[in-house]
Formats: sequence, C-alpha cells, structure tokens
Amino acid sequence: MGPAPHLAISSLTKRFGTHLAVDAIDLTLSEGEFFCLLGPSGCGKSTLLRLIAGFEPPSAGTVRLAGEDITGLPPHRRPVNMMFQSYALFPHMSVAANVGYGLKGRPKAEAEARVADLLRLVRLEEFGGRRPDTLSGGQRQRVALARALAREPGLLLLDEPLGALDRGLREETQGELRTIQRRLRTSVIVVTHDPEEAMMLADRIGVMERGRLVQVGPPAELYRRPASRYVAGLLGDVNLIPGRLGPPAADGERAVATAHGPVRAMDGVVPLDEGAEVLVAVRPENLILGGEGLPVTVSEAVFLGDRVRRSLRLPDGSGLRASASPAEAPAPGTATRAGFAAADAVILPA
Amino acid sequence: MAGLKQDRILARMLRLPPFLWLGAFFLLPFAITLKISLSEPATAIPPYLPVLDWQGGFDGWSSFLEALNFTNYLTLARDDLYKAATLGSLAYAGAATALLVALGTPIAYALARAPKRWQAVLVALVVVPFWTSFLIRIYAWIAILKQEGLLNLILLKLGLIAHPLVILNTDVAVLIGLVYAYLPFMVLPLYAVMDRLDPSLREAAADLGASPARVFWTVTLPLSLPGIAAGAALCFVPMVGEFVIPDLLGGSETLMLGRVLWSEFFSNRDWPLAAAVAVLLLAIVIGPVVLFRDSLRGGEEAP
Repeated sequence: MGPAPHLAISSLTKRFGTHLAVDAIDLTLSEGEFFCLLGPSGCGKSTLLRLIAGFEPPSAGTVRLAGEDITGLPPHRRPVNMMFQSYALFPHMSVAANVGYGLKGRPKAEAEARVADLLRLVRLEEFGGRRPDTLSGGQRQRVALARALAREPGLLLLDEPLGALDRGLREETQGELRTIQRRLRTSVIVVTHDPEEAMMLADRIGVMERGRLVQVGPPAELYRRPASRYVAGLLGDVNLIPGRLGPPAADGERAVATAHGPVRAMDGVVPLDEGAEVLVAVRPENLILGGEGLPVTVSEAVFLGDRVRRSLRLPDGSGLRASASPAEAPAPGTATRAGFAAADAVILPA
Repeated sequence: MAGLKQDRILARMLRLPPFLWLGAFFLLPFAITLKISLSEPATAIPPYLPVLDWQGGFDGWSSFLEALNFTNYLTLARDDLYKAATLGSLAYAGAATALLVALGTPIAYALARAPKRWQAVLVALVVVPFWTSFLIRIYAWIAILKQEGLLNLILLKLGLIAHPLVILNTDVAVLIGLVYAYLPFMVLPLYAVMDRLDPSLREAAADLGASPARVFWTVTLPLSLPGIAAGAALCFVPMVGEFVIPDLLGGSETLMLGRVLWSEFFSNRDWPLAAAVAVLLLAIVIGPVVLFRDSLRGGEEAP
C-alpha cells in the first residue's frame, strides 16, 4: 500500500428518475495526477465531474479529498475548482476581476499580486482590463483556466477544456495545459470525448460507458490492451477479426482459429474459456502486408501524407484497414497476405 | 428582375400597416390634441380658435400659425396645482417603481430558479389576474382596504391592532393599488432576462467560493439589470398617467396628472387646457422611453 489517495470516490451513484447517469463508480487519484475521463456524450462523465464539484447531490456513495469526506459540502465550501466547457466567464467583469473573483477575503494587495501572477502564467498580462467578450476563444479559455487556478484548488476539474478551440490552437493549448499542470503539481480530472486529447494530457485514462467506469489505465496500456471492443474502438481505429479461442501458448499468447486461418494474439484483460467466440483486435498500423498471415486483396489505397491507409478485403468479403508508410506499397488489386505480431494483437470477448 | 422589383414593392407594402395604424390612432389624434392645446382658452365646445382655413392656401396657413398661442401652457407653468400634480405623479410613479423593483426582483428570481416543469404554471399564475377586469380588481381593493374591510377585519381578529386602520383614500392605498396592478409588468420582463442567464455562471461563482447571497449580488443581479430597466420603464411610464387607481383608491388630496386631466376635460370642460396637460404628460413619459429604449428592445447586453 502506498500513501493514502488524494481523491477517493467510492460507489458514487447518480440517478435522474430511473436513469442511472453515474453507476457505482470507484476511483482513486494520487496527488499531482492528471486523470482523464473519456467517453462519448451521454456516458455520464460530465455528471461525475459535477458530483465531484458539488453541483449535484449524489444518490449514493462518497467523495473524499485529502482524507476529508466532502460528499455533503456545497460547491462553495469545496477545495475543488472547475473550468466550464462554456468557460462561464462573467461577462460584466474585466478579465482581472474574473480571475480574482475567487480571492475575496484576501488582503487587497495580495489578491492583486496573485491575479497578476496568474495572468502571467497564462500569458495574458496585457489583458487584465479587457472584457471577456473582446477576447478570442483561446484567450477566454486561458482566462477560465487562470480563474480556476486562483484559489490553488486541491483538485482542478476541466470539462471539455479545449472543445471550443480549433485544431491548431487545441494542440498548442494541450501542451500548455500539461506544462502548467506539471509546474503547479495540481491534481486534475479532465473530461473529454477526444481520445487523442486524453492520451496527450493524461497520466491515466478512465473510459466510461453508460455510467460505468469500464477500464482505467495509462494511455498506452488502454490503447494496446483494451478490455473490450468498446474501449478498443473509442481509443482509435481497430480491426476486429472474429474467431474461436484455442489453447494457451507461451508468454500469454494464444492461438485463435479464424475463418481464414489461424492467428496468434495476446490474452486480454478478461479471462476467457477455450473454445469461446472471441475477437482479435489489431490496430491498422500493426498490420504487416506481404508476409505470413490472412489472405487479403487490396481494394483501395488513400494517400494521407505521412502514411497510406489501405482497405483490404478478406475472402468472405469483410474488410480490414492497414496503415503504413507510403514506401511499402502494394497497389489496389494486389492479392497479398496480412499478418501481425502476436504481441500487437489482443483477444477480446465477442 | 421584374419579379425582384415586385417583391421589393410587396415587402414595402407589408411594412405599411403598423405605420398606418400609428398614423391613424396615435399621430392624428395627437396632432388634434396638440392643436387644441395651442388654441385660445375657452370653456366651451368646439370650434376652438384659430380654425385652419383649408381654402386659404399659404395665407390661410400663415394666419393660422400666427394665431396659435401658448396661453394654456403658461397657465400650466403658473398655476401651482399643475406643478403639484406633475410632481405628485412623478413621486407616486417613482415610489411605486421602487417598490415594484424590490418586490418583483425576488419573485422573478424565484420563478427563474423554480424547477422547469413548474415554471410554465407559475408564469401563468402571474398572468391570471388579467382574466378579470382591471376595474373590478381595483374595486375589490376598496372592499379589502376600507375601514370595515377584509384587511382590518383580519388584523383586528389577530389582535395586531386595536382600532381599524385608515388605509383607503390615502397615499398608502394608491401605492398598494399601483404595485398590485403593475407587478406582472415588472416580473415578466425580469423573469425573461433571468431565465436566459447561463446557469453555469452561477455555478462558476459558487465554485469559486461565493455564498448563495454573494452569487446573487455579484452575478445574478448585475446581469439582470437590463430586465430591471425594462420592467421599471414598462411600469413607470403608464403609472405617471394613471387615472383609475388614484381616483378609486386615493383621497381628495391625491394629486396626479391623470386625475387633473380628467377633471379639466369632464368637470371644467376646458378642453384646450386639458389638451395642454395631455401634451405635458406625453413629454414627461417620453423621457424614460428614450432612456431605456435599448433595454426595452430586448434586454440584450451592449457589446
């Protein structure tokens, strides 16, 4: 056992009428950790965030922060701050007044110095006197971040923090967010539906499906060894090849008999019985063309600059996708074989 | 091209009715009133001098304009009765507006914060009084406020007072009547603005440590000011010229322009002077309308 967790959520549940928005979630966070809740809209990730912030009372369960039970505390008494998806900047206040809103009760000089520090942190020193509606989307996002950091929260919650930004700005801001978080060592929970954003930001990702936390782990682990086809598909493009599970082989590998021949893959997180119907999950970039493997025909090749995406057809007509560098290039119409290393494929329940 | 031109003509014609309406029912009567107010003082029936000679061409117009006089306005300026009535109107309307803001703001806030499924019902309840004639509702207040009325009966029964209070025919009764009658006009625009406020602004304030009271004073109220301005203008303007409420609930000393106007027209039969009072009234109420034009237009924040 390590030190006590910074945030400990146990059997947290939220019911809206008969709908279970958040279903008995257990989760712990260590101090300074950057955690990401990933899932499609309606999976309950924003509701979970609102339960932690205190905007909704839970139907059951507890939230403990730094050892203290905060389940019953109203939002204004929680050492938790949130950055809203819409930013929720006060339109009638200047940028500096927005950032300083949470500093009421501190000596004036101290509060002013803190606001100046925060504006410098988010590179908006020049903008303290401006109104939020005169700023660009990216600048507003940074004001919202500075405001949420003003009270030095024990836990920072970010609800789709980059959702309103365009692509280039998003990537830049992701890096900035990560840098600021590393410097301040604040524990962060970010909610997003964008797998790339989740993988770029988070130390660990928790995937949510219909109110439940279905898998938690570091980004690479979730990407390489998803526990279900839902998680596999959520984190990126994936080929799912149906087959029947064979006997165990060495090093956690197993044989799977597919309709087009035998393949080898790694055992999944969920234990499965020999003879069960399974799916072999392989990422497009792990499919190797031209060696051993399943017989396929290249049906289409799309040039994407840094790589070529090929659509492949198995003898029964089902499709696979392979992604490779433009150099290695079987042209459309070529009959070849598609294989993969056992370590790059994982067995999932069908 | 011809179709486009026709469309444009049609579009212009569709814009006409409101102007025709305003012309026929506001501008023309106002022009007549203005003309009468500039006539020679006379306690009689029309015609009021001067009379425009339609056949006289330019000479007719110029002799008509020369003959117009401002005697009635001078009377208004010199006679303390009209000064007192003007100030009285402004004082009653101002005090009632202040009370309406104080009372309407929490009501509108409660409406906007009520569960969504109740809001339609609650808003309907605010409007329900309109199903009964305005006059009847004001008469009902006479029955409530008079010495042997409902209010005194209840207060006596509860032992809160030993003798019936004199409320009817006082300033208090006029204020009660004004606040009662105009409350929906305060609450509805204010509710419309408060209901549209982004709830995440309140949540953000609470998240940053603000108590519910501080959230209200620093976020909800400042962002509701356009609604308060719209409601205040909607109430203040007609209250300045209000006649029925001061007439039925007020005493003989309740001086408001509406009442003076009425007695000049119907008791004194001094139409030119009454017309001058009407023009004065319009000049007074046009001020707030111009001032609050932006918030009346829809309560949008200026950029």
